[in-house]
Amino acid sequence: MSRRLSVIAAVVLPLFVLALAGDWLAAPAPFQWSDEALAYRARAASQGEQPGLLLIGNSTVGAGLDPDVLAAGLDTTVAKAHINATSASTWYLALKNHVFGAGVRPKVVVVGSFASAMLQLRAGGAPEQEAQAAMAGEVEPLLAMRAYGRAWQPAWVMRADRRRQEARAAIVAGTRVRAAGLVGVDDVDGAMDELFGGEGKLDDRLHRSGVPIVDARDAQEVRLRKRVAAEESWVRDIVELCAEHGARVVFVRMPLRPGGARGVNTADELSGLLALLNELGAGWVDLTQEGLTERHFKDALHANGRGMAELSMILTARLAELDVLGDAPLRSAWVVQVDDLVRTGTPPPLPAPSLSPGKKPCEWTGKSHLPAALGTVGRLAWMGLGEISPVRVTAGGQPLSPAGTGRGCSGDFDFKNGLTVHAPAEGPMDFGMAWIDDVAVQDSAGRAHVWLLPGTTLSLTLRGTGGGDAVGLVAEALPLRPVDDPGLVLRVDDHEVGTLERRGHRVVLRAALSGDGEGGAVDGRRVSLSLAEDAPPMLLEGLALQAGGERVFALGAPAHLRPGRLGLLGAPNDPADFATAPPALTGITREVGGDGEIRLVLPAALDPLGRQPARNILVQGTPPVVELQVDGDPVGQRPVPCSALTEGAAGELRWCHHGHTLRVRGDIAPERLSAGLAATRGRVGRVLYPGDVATLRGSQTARPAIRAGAGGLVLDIAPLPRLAPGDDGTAVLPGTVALLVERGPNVLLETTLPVQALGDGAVSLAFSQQVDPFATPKVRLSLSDDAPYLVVRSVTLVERVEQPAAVAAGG
Amino acid sequence: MSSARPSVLYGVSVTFVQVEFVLLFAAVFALYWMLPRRWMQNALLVLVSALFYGWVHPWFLFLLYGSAVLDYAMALAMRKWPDRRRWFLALSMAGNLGMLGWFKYADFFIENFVAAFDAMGVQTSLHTMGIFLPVGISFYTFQTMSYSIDVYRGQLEPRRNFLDYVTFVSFFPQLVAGPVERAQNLLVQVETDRQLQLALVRSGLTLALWGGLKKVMCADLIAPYVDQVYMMTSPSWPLVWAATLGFAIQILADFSAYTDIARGVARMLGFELVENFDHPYLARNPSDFWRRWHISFSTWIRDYVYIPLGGSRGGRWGTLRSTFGAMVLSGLWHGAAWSFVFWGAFHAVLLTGYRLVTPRIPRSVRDRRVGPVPVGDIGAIGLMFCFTLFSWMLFRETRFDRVLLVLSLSPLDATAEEWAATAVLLGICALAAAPMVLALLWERVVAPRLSTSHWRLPVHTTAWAIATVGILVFYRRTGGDFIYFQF
Repeated sequence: MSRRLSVIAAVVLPLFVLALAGDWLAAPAPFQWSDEALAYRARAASQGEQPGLLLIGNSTVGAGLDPDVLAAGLDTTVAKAHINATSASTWYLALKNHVFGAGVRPKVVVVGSFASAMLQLRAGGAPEQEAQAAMAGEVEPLLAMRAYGRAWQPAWVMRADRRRQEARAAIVAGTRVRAAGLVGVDDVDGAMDELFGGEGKLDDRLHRSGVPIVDARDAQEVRLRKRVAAEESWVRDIVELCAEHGARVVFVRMPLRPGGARGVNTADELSGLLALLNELGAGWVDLTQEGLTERHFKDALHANGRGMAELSMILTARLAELDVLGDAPLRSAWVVQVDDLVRTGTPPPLPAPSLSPGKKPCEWTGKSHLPAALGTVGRLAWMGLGEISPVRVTAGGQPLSPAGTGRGCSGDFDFKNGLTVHAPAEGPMDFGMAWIDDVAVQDSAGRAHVWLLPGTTLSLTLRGTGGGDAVGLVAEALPLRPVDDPGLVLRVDDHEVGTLERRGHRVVLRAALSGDGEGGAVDGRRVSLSLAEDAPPMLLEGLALQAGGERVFALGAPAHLRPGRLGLLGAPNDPADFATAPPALTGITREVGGDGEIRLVLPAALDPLGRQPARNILVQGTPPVVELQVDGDPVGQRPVPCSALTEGAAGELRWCHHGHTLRVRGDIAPERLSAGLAATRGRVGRVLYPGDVATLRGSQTARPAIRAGAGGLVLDIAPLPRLAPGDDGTAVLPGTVALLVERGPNVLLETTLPVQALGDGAVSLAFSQQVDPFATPKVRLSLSDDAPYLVVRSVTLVERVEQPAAVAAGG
Repeated sequence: MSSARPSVLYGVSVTFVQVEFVLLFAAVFALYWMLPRRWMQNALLVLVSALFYGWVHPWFLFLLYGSAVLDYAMALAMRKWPDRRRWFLALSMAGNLGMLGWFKYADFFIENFVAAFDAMGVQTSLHTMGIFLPVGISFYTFQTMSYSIDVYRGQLEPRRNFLDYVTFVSFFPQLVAGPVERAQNLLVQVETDRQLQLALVRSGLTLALWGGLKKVMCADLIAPYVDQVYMMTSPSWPLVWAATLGFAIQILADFSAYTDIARGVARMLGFELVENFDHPYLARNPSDFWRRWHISFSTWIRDYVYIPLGGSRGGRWGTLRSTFGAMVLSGLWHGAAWSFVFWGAFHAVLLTGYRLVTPRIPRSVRDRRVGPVPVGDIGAIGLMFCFTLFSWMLFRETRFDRVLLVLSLSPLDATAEEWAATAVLLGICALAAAPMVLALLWERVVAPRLSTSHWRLPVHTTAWAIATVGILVFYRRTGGDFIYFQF
């Protein structure tokens, strides 16, 4: 070969290789919609190509809105096309690709969810990433750019990226399949599940789906559920996309169970969202102010049947009021904003804390020198407010973060048992403590909280239009310790106004605003709140304006003002409590299969927690609820996975639990087998056995929590039928549950409930007095000796009892 | 006794397998060869090195230049006051080892000190400090120390030209993960005029591309699988050892990839860095392994620790002491954790055992062949590889209780699913190792035949293109940093 030819080959050959690779990378990848996407399309088009209304959003829409009620009330067709566990970016993809992209042209698109999901920029976790992958097209440059900051990536780069990832995945997957084939395993994924579980699989799924969020580092970041200001969110994109296709948009803020912290948006976030919707001409309906109680919800997020019926009717009325199906522009939402928020005056100085090294590395603790008013600051963490302490603490002049991880040397402080500091320091250290300088303190979710400090005045100017000429102004504040005279004064335009009310331990001030100028009753009003020097610090939970049935917040958040609830931690089952094994269940049937397997079919009523299917209880690490018994005694060995039932040695006794069936293999007569309640330390629900006494306590980190103090409790306790001797599932259950609630020496509630009355829904009971907000009462349950086994599903403290006790108190 | 790594690694922002580095280097390369004077080129290298190293944490540069200035000054002082050179050397050692000790070992010693006193029932008020470990500190402190020691021994003249000297200390291709260069090699080249040679650029590019391919296609491919297994709370025997095999592939591919890229990049700039690897898994015995693995470091340990400790001159016990001292120090150099100490001690045991046992094995056994097959050699390589695997398990596990757990596992306890998963893992190991096996064949079979052929150039350029495509296909943003960054 001549030198010249070699040089030519040296240029041409690599160019040829690169050209081949480039050609392959640039070619569009074969793409087809996933089954989920096709199913979604069918749902969106269920009312034909031009439904009057299309409901989209997350599971709050699924559980909260009945399309038939809306259709009947608005006299139009309604398609419901929500996607569970999703947020704005996914709805955008669904609308673009599977509603408008599939030729469906609704007149009105109703986007429903809690507000935080509307302002969420990225997928909020693995389930939503999957949903997003299903909804996404071959490439989604807008998603890549907006949610993941890859503005530089044009579509062809994304295509090439996808192709190379496919190639890589194919090579790796091919290797995996071949390697598994060598040892006779067909189901590679199954074989690898145990090993590689979630992340790798998700990564592969996303590779396949072509969503640009393809790597684990991004997925990690995505979990942060970052919320953004309205202008940066997907709201504008959704409205503009709908406008392009001739559809009007109404955003509907769906309510969550009262007292929940999730989905809480502060006034500034909401006012930004509303201002944007007004600018875009989109509608806004807030269903969180409609007075739904916990009776309308089946869990923290989702309405039950009663809630769905009520919400659907309310929304129908609100949409009719907006005339969404008409041609007139949608009425603007009432937006109130705050200007010139300042704090004046000087609170009394705080002493320098005296701390000494604690037991853990980097830990410093001190119990003395905290002013009395701050003695309860540590309890803020109980209320989910640990991050927003009204005081700041410094170590060596450096500010520390409040309520951090409490581990390591991360430079944080909290007020548990006095003041505890974690600071990377050695030797003597100067600590400082002072009131916060900032008027508004942000928590890690980006929500702003405003403190009223003693001896200071908080002033602000209200901005906004709407609401009419007569508007009510309501300020609600939570004092850090209970006080008789709150020392809080409300002024509007320098005139002292307002009537003082108490709601539990909260301080409520109400005033009426009126005005007939251009700005109405609100715009330009100067409002101030002054706190006396000897008053405790107060958290301003809400400064709201009310007109008619509508209430908007200038500061704070509505959810903070709802009655709270706090689930008590159940005392764990202690095997030692079961002096004798629980009796065998009654009503068991035994079947013997041709392969020698014995099946004990348990009574359907067994599933004690109402969770279906019961096998979910048997996940790894969770003790079984039922246990195999031989000759009436527990067999004493844990169940095996049903897939491994046949793997034991011949004749060896092995059992597994699947649904309402216990499957048994082994050399044993079927008649000797039965099943009873497992006497193991359970985490699923506290089982009360006859004669049992259980003391329940509140979690110190539970959120949501009770900010105004507990006023009652809700018991959800159910008897376990088929465990009482002679019980065939219909017997009248004997026995009683004695309930005692104490706060220190005070007895708040003492009553006795018949067992027969339990199990048919929760029982609400009011305390004789409201507990102070910084205490959790002790709850003791005693079951009489003649009672059947009970399972305690939940015991929840509530600020207010929603209804009279359903069960007559017998004690 | 805890063996958790107390220090936190602070990573660099720019690594060799990032697009940013490729673009930066392309610009530097063009500018570098346009500069007419050597001092200008050196100044550019110092500037780029500072940018490369201090991009995220500029304060790292204080440490780097602090170490450099210390040894520069001490070396000059040694020449000026030769009678007191021992003191200047001690100052240099104290400064460098003090810096290394503080950033790398302080928390480790505090933690163990506190644990020891706790065990005796004595409460102490000492706390670990969560000190950040600046990347590359172990490499450049060793490099500057070797300079001072060489000057002290009279093997090197101290340099007055600070620019040349700083170029040697902070030379960015090998700054954060070696090779650990000696002044006799690198500094001399820094002081010599360089000329652009296409042959060097070509071979440098080949090396760098090969390194990149190894990193993304071998190391980063197997890494997540290894990590997953080593994170399992209840590992099984076949999975752990398959993952250890994976780790053996990963660490060789990862570290040698860095070295290859460093050497390739340096070569394109006219420098020849020392070889760091010579097919270490083909080693026939422990001594042979250390002649093939991390050569620049093992020779450093030999010259500056093992031999000063007495080497093999002090009889059986003296040799034992030198070997253990050198190897435990070698383990500790990798990180402040007991697992590294055990790893070093294990290698010391291997070396000692080898010296004791080998003379008792007849040469006929060692050199045995069956026909053309050298079964003696193959057996030795296989046995040594098993020992190496065991040592990598010690290296990879960060907790001693986990090591004991792994040692307590039995293959008989593994389930069918675990064996199936092991087969898959071995398949991935084979995929990850394939490029390195092919490279070995290339080196032994193809390259010698090509060396005089006209086909050499087209084969090279086509290989570059294939490597580029391979890197493009296998590159992932999630690929981890180079393992040796943490040392």
